[in-house]
Amino acid sequence: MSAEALEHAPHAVVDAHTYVAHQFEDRAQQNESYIVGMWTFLVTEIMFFGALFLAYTVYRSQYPTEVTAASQELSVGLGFVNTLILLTSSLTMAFGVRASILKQKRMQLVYIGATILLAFGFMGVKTIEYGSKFEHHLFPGPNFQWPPAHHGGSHGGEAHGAGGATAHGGGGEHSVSTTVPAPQAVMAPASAESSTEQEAFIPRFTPDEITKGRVQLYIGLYFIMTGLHGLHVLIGILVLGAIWLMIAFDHPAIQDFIPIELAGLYWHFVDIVWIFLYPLLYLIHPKPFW
Amino acid sequence: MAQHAEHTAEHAEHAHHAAPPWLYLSVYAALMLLLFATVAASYVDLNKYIPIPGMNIFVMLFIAVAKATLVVLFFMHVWDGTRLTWLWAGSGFVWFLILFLVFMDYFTRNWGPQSLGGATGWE
Repeated sequence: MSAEALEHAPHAVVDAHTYVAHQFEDRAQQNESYIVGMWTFLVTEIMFFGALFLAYTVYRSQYPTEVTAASQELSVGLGFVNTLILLTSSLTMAFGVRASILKQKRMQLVYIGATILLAFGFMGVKTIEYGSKFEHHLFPGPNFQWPPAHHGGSHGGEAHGAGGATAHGGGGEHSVSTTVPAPQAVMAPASAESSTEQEAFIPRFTPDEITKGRVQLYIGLYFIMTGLHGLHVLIGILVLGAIWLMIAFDHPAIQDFIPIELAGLYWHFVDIVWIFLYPLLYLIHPKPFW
Repeated sequence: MAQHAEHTAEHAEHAHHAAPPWLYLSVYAALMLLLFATVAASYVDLNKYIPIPGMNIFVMLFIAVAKATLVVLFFMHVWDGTRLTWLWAGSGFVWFLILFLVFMDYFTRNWGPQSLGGATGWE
């Protein structure tokens, strides 16, 4: 919005804090630099999360069976609720930015307040999820337990197909097993014809230990990826909370819509990360919704 | 308020005018539909219809990309952003794809037993 437009626009506030800085031609150029600057930060964030997505892809391509089995421990329903919450919070954020462009103070407070509440809701669901993981000793470390205690390991060793999402057509039943077919012991030849050849290798880990290690790896990735995402949600709550207070008290630094637009860009980015985390971590295999 | 938005748009070329509410609501509706589609896709064995290994995850990721595109274009205002904004937003995803070139390495050597989803290795 150029300074001229601001003068003609109704309810426009032209004060010391909405002037065009001397290095810019006009307001449009200044706004563009703000937005491009924010996108530069977001690109570094894409790289930051990108490394984790890459690690995930490597491990899933290496150990599809164990990843499938481990993801059975995540609740599709809770993930669904959280996706719903975050998508809705993106909508309220978009309306919050809109209200700030239109200089509607009350609507800004309503929409940004709603976004903050939804963010708290997201963290609440996350707490329930993490709580049940801790309860079942599904946290990487010395107390990690696999197969998980609540299953009793009585589902039999049904084999999962390679590629993660294959096999078990439309199984809404709890037919999915957490018991993984035993991988080959480390160092044992994959197709040993003679027993003498096999004796030459001494396995360092039992197949159960190998499975447990790989499952632990997946659960570790789950905690790191969703944990870092949760950290971003918490930072988002702080940023939006600060902006909410500044709007409420008519802080001079927030007369322009740009700070809210930039916070909105960040918030939508957090939403996008979750859009990818949900199918990758939770929706690997048909399993009960709740 | 719609008049206000038009008024502002008339006066500044690259002005950030407020998008109409129906735009945001339709994007939200589309995101909801795609969310249901993702969950539905995870419950159907798509391998039966299209015999490509890991068809489900490809479909789900395709839907996720569609959702992300909607958010970037409309919620993040890249659609009516300047050309520089387009370039910057696009570059992030280009770098992201380059990151995955690491699979040129993973797919072209045997790392050991069970390498790459069931390839035996150690021949």
